[in-house]
Amino acid sequence: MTAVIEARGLAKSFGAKRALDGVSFSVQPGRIVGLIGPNGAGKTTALKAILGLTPFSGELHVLGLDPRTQRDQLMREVCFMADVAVLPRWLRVRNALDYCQGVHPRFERSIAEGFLKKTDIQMDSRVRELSKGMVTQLHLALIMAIDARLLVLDEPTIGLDLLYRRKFYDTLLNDYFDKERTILLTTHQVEEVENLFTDIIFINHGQVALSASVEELGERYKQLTTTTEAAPRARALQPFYEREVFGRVAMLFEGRSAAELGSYGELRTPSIADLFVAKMARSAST
Amino acid sequence: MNSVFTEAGAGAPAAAAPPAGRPLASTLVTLVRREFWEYRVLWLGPVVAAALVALAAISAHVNFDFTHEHNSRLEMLLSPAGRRGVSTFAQWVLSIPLYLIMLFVLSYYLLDCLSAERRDRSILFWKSLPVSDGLTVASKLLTAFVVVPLGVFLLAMVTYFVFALIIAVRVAIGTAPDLLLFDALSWLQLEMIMLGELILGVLWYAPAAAAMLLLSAWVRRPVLWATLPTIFAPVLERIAFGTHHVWNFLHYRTAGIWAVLFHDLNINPETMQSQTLSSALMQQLHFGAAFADAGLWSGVVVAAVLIYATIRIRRYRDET
Repeated sequence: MTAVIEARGLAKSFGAKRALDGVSFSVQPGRIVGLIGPNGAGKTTALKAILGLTPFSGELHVLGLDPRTQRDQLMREVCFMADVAVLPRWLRVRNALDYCQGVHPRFERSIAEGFLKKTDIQMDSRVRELSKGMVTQLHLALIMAIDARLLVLDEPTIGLDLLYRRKFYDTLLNDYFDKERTILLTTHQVEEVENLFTDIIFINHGQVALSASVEELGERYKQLTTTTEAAPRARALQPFYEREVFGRVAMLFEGRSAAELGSYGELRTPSIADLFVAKMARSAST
Repeated sequence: MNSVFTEAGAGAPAAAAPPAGRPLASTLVTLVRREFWEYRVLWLGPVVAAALVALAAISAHVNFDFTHEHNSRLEMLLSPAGRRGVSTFAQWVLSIPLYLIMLFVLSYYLLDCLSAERRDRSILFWKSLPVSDGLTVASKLLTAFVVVPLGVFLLAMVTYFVFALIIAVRVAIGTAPDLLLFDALSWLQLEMIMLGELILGVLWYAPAAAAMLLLSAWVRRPVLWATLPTIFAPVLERIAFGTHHVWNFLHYRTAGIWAVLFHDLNINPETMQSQTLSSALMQQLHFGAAFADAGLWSGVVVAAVLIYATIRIRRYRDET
């Protein structure tokens, strides 16, 4: 199957700052990809390039289309939700549905209505009367009703309380996602959604720091938890990150087998959050 | 059952070819409706003005001085020809407040419509849907150049009838003099004239409207950018160079086409004895010259360029 997103050497500068500095990655269909990086790493710029919202240089194909020149065509098959609720405050819920139905060839109104029935959102309400969580639910309802092949979410749950966040991702995973669809998601709250991802891309200083599937991560990276006494011996195997917690040392290794490390302590696959912290700490020191 | 789903699933890769969009006309209808959801003033403004104008008929008061025995003009006014003329005059005058309100409302709308979506960042929502920048701008132009002007034209028509009806009731109960005499031909002639003026006005003000739309897509405070230079540029030019080219230009782009249309217009009670007011206007207005005016069409070309620039700016602007 051809890649949903194929990016090669994406570059973009804002003045002297390089927001994207030769970013290359590919996203396969039916995956849930986390684009993860610290603030100002270039995540949003990368998403904007994918959505044809910003000029850039490099080679980029999204669903086989060039977002720079074929954006109008592309947006029939791509859905997009920006970091904070961007639904206009004057819009009525009913009219939001009318609008999507009127302009989107793949919008199925009954799905959105069905979803909204399960919420407290009234059809006659204006967006300004809804809580932030409800606005996100409304936007999600619109997105669920669109039969898109690629869904791009940029910090969709920022500023929401835990209940809304949990509900949001549950809905996304259970009711929306299927093997035909691809989701590209950026978030700060990595620990909360890490079970969601099938693939991750770490991005920092406008460059891809790591791009792998979750299975590959398990093979490539190991986290060893050992005692301070055993630590020096383990250190000889060149962990790329370590930290001490409650008198025990956690070390991250790349490309070491379980057989090599097993004798030094407990082994597990590092969480995406741990891996992220380690990778970012390393790139900060270099 | 399963096979049905498999088949449906197998059909999905065929959708790799991007699906066709909705018919253009129905998309445009949705987009224009959207404009009226956001800017209720587009219809509320003219409707309120129309209501006030029509209701003025309730309190309208005419004072006649009957002491002068040889007031031939008054006699003329009360003759059938005179009353037809008054009707036509009322039909015209009543529409003026509506068009003035429309001018204000549309100016505000054109300056705000592409700026508001940047302010509240809702542009990211609009752009997440398959509506091109060209189509978005087209929907704003359709709203400002066609839908609202045509709506106000029809509203003015209704306003005149409501006004005339209220007057007729007042005449019947004896609280107003019988000054209006409806004449179908005169009425139709003036409606045609006003429609011609409306089309002329839309074309003439197209570059100004397009400039407002451009500011709306381009700068942070479009209202300020539209008003301050218009006010201060002529003053500064006058102070700095002692000339008034800017002022002349602004004056020309405001009134130029009307000078052509109304050139040598001469209507007095005498002309109205031989013909109705509306047919006198029909005869004397220079619609041919106005619609053939080079300034009119060069303005339309400028408007087209500005609109193209507006679309490009909305397409490539990235500030969110």
